[in-house]
Amino acid sequence: MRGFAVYAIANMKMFFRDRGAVFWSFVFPILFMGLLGLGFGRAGTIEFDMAVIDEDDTAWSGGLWQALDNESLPFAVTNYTVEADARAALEAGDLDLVVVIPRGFAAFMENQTAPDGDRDRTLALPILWGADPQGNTLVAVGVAERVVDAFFQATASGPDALRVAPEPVNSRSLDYIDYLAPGILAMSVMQTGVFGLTFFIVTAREKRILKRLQATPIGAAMLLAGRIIPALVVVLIQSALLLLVATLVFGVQIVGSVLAVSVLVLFGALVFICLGFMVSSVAKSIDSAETLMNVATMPMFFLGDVFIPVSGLPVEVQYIANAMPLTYFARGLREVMLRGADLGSIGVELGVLAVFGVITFGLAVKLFRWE
Amino acid sequence: MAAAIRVEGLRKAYGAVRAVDGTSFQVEEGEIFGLVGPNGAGKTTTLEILEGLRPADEGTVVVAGIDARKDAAKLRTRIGVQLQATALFERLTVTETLELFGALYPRRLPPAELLKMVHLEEKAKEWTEKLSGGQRQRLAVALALVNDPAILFLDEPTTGLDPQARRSLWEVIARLRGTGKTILLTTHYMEEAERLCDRVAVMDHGRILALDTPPKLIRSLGERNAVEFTGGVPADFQGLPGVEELRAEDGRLILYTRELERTVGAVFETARQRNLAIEDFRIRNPSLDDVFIQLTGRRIRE
Repeated sequence: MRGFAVYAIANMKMFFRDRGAVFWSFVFPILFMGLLGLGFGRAGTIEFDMAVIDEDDTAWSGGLWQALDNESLPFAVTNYTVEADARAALEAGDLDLVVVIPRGFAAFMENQTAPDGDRDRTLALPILWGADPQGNTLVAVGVAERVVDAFFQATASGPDALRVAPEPVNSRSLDYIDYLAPGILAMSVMQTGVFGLTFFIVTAREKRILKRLQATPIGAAMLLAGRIIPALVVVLIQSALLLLVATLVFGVQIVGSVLAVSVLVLFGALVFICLGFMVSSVAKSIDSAETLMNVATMPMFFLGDVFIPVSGLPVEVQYIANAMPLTYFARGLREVMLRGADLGSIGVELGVLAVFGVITFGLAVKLFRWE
Repeated sequence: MAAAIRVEGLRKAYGAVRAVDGTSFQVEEGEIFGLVGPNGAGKTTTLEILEGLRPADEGTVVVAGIDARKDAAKLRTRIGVQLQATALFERLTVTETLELFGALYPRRLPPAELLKMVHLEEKAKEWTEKLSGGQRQRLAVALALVNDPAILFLDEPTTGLDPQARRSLWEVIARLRGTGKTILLTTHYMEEAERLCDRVAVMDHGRILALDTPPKLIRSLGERNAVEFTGGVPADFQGLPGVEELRAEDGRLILYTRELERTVGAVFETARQRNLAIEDFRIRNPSLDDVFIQLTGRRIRE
């Protein structure tokens, strides 16, 4: 036992003496969250604040308004009469998008004559939209577009001549950081987990240190445990730093219990350590390990519910995102941190992660080589 | 004296290549035993089987009274191992490295004592990556000694070292002789085997070709001297007086003779007659190198 402690502590020392590792584990996630947090601050969530400016003011325009105000849509619709006011609100981040129903809308709907009298057969319906850090607002624009489309199909005949004209407006939005913080935490834990064990094993194997250790009484289980425990300590320190910055600097509120967050973080770290272990067993060299790790983590980095909610992705991509362990880890963390869920109520996420961990660990052990 | 290591009928093949092809030998307690031979002779494979790091196909391997093929785990606490081309953990000091390896054994020697054994006391606090090749190798020997093993395996301990570093490591190994440890080392430096080893097994293509003390192996060649030079081809020097054997190696000619003066005179006389330029001329006592040439018909190479 004393021997194991000496070995684990030596591994810990090696980690903290590696400036690169310290930077990527502790400094980088905080910098990353800080930059994104300062850049995008607080952004809206599921409900989109929409303003409708009805310049036409007819039964037709009223009908479209009704369609947009439908309860099943994620729009909270308010009335604005002056477009400049709506733009200002958009820029301030109070609104997410503004739909303008132009004068002459009724005439267009009845005989498809554009307001200027020309029968040019199309009418553009401006939709102004604000900041889109998560890809959310663009999705909202897409929904609005579909509503307008459906409205036209249901009420008019003839060729599909009504168009929307989306127009981005610069603005700052709020509350994105609340979404982001658990995502960055999940991502950092993934990186530390995957990279921590892999580089150690692959480098040690390539330099024949593993083989030298094989000639000692240590055994594979102790060899790995002595490396995994320091990695978990690193993950805990990393998470604590990240959450401190998130709460103190960016005002993110952790609703769930710190214990539940810690347990989840450790659990997630173990799962990703298993993934890294598998990579180390498959990889033939340090280079190929690096490539494999990037192949494994990069898609998750972008699609794993870290920066962009899965619902904000194209449907086809959502299938991919839903097959990624990071998606479940980030979702679980978000549920616990932001909604105060207990571990029991994120059983699905925990289950998926556990299955993933067991499979990768099994493969890793089966393929493990000392040299 | 009891046998510290007993190997009988050991075989190991990689596909069609018979890396170890039925070798048998015994190493006595307290002996320094050398496996010499060129790269690919099967030395390292043999050693790794003895260390319990590699499964054998056939044969008996008993090390320190333990069946190395069955009980590798038990064996590991009793032996000390230095592998070919040692790499060390980065970002640890020499002392920390010794402590780390020591921690893996139930019984260990203090780092200071180990450093003294390998003459590395002044490097105790140095980072391992700052050590020279010779110092790394001495640290590797210290790591092999960390559990105070009765049997020490050194796999090409001086390969790649400059002559000075090599001699300094020889000193370290020679001093271990007095401690009663059994040492099995491999090398392709014949001079190293001659200097350090009590007995030497000459290995090639997985087989042991000869096994004896270095003086006896050399004496088996007879009371001959070797005359070596470049210039001309074997046909030029055929039938010179006193020459018992004539070989060409890498463009060099080697003449084994019992009548040194007559042969040397005849060599230069022949060269003058045939207008050959003799270069790099050398006379030497026969060495283990010559034993290897005698046994295999070729010179050992790095």
